[in-house]
Amino acid sequence: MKIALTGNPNSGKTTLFNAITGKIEYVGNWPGVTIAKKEGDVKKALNKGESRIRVVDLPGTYSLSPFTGEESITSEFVKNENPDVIINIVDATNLSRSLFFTTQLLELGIPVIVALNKCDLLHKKGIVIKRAELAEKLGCLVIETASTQGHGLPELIEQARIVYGHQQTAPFPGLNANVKDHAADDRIKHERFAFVEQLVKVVEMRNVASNKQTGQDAADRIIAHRVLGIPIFAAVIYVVFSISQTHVGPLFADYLVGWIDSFYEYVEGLMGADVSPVLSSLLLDGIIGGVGAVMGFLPLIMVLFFLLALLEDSGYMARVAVVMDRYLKRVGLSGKSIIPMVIGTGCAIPGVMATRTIRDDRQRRTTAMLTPFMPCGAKLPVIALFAGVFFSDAAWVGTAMYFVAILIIITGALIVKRITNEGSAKSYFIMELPDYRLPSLKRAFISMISRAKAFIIRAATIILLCNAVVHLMQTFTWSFQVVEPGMENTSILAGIASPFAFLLIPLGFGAWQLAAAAIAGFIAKENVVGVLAVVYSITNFIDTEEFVLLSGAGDVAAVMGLTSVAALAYLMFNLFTPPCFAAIGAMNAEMDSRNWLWAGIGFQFGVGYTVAYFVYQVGTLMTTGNFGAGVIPGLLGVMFIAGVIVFLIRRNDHKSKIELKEAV
Amino acid sequence: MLTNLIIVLIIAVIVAGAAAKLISDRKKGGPCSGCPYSGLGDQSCHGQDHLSCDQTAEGNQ
Repeated sequence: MKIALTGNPNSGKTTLFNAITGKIEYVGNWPGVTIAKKEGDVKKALNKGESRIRVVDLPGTYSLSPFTGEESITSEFVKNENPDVIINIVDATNLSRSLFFTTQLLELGIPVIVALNKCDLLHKKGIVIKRAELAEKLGCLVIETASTQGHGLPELIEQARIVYGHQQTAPFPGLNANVKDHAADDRIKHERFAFVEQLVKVVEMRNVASNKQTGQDAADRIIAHRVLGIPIFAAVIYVVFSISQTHVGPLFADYLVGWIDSFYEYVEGLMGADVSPVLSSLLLDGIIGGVGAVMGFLPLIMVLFFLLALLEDSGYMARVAVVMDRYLKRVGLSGKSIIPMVIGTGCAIPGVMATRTIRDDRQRRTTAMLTPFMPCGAKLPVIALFAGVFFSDAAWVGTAMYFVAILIIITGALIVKRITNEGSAKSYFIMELPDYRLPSLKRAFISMISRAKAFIIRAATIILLCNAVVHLMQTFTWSFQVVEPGMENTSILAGIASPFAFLLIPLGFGAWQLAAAAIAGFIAKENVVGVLAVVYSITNFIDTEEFVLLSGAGDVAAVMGLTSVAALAYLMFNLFTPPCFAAIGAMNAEMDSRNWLWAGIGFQFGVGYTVAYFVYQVGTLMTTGNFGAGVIPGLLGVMFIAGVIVFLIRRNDHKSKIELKEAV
Repeated sequence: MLTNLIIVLIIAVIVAGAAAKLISDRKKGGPCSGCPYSGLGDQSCHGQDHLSCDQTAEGNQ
């Protein structure tokens, strides 16, 4: 038996899906989180029958007439893939909005059960719904559920088994209408709305007038204010970074790093002195040390993910989307562009994938190009490393990276708008703001564990392999001889990275080790940390005392050959150059244009180089009174990048003029 | 000599395990091992399979 879970955006489908299948799919307290269908089996505790029940969680939609890609997934599935039962999740606190879609589902002939979700909020909101009457009028079962608490779920699954195989009758005769006939379609829509309006009048009683300003509305006037919203967001992110990277995170990190060090010493002791130094170094420094350096940041990342999950669950991030939407629309992006960018703070891949909700090609491609600038989870260890080692765990570093990313996105959108010279398609960002609620610690914990698991998998796979390869490349020369002590410049790794390092001199980090780490970052951004650990033979980045023990606190910069300004430039170069290859693959798919893809990658390189150049050169000028090394060649490079952009803008201006003349 | 051989085997097992996990996730349709959102199952829709996976091309127009 196959059950389709359908409903409006943010009605709680994925939460219900997770509750009945036991899966941990990403949920968010805002609309548009699910952009692809997800499948799972009903867990044994809820399935009283013998046969397997498959459940398909579908993206939210308001109608069976799709407007966007993800809405078409739902429409296509319920119409063409013959689910045996449809569970229509209806937000009980917003009945009038939800039932339009319900009436359409009832016309498909497939048995429908309405899950009246979020019933736990009805009393609080002063809403009473006559469930029996609603069921009678719709001609289907209506079951009260609260998926966040598991309420009503056993009954829901049991009833789904009972109605399986029955024919659904529609309360509304719209099925036979010819939908290609716009006049008939419009007439049916009006009738459908009238039917729903009449139905809601009968079955719903609201004790609180909807036009009365509530405490939530008052809070939104401040939190989602177009000006105040920005400093509030900055303060919130600062507090999040402060807790995760300065206070709570390092406490746990110390324990983990201690265990990693103990494991390192244990393995070292097991091997003894007779083992080949090459093998010993590969296992200890390349694999355990490299992976351990990345893993050491896990507690910091987990605390950060936990706090971000609390923010999402509270409904705050939806307000951030509203605040940022105003600015993004002004620079030619879609109102929906903010959603991929917020999702991109977790991982750039789903962020880029979420751009498919944007209908206009230029806006979708621009958003896909700009979304990876948001610092994703993989970039957090890099931020944490540099904030910890060079800026005394300063929370402002992480906060500043988010705001620099936003500035880059806005500037980038303006540049793309000028280059493409296309008028923006008018877009609206209609998002029902979810209610503020006390965030669930359990949900935040599950979200944190899920992301931590992902982090560990990446560390144990792609990071481990990269570190092993990098270590081997650092150990051998091109003639496959072991590199002599003090002759590291002759290694394969140095040979490959040195030409790139030469290009990075104007940015303040011309060492081949740093170039190698930056290059490895394109495979996975955490690699920057792992490779730095391997090439500098540092197994523990968290405890900066190791640096102190090595050569004194004042010589920390000398270990990597970086000043604080150069370190900031290096951090920004890694954050704002192209994302990992997997995210580039997602960009390729969503842009659906080779020209846009290459232009996007070129633009990301240009931005990363330019930002790092100015941070280093201006920062060095401010701190030492002189420009840093390579100021003129770097300036030429930046001027070349600017020249390309100006050329593209002028070329398209010229093209537009010619087209205009021809049109006249 | 025997110790070296054991170490080589251990390293080979670790590296092969990591590579096998990457390949297995790739075969399941994941663009990146461990990506928390893009899904590790065969129902995930992303990367090159985007248009053929779940939706119609006109969905994005």
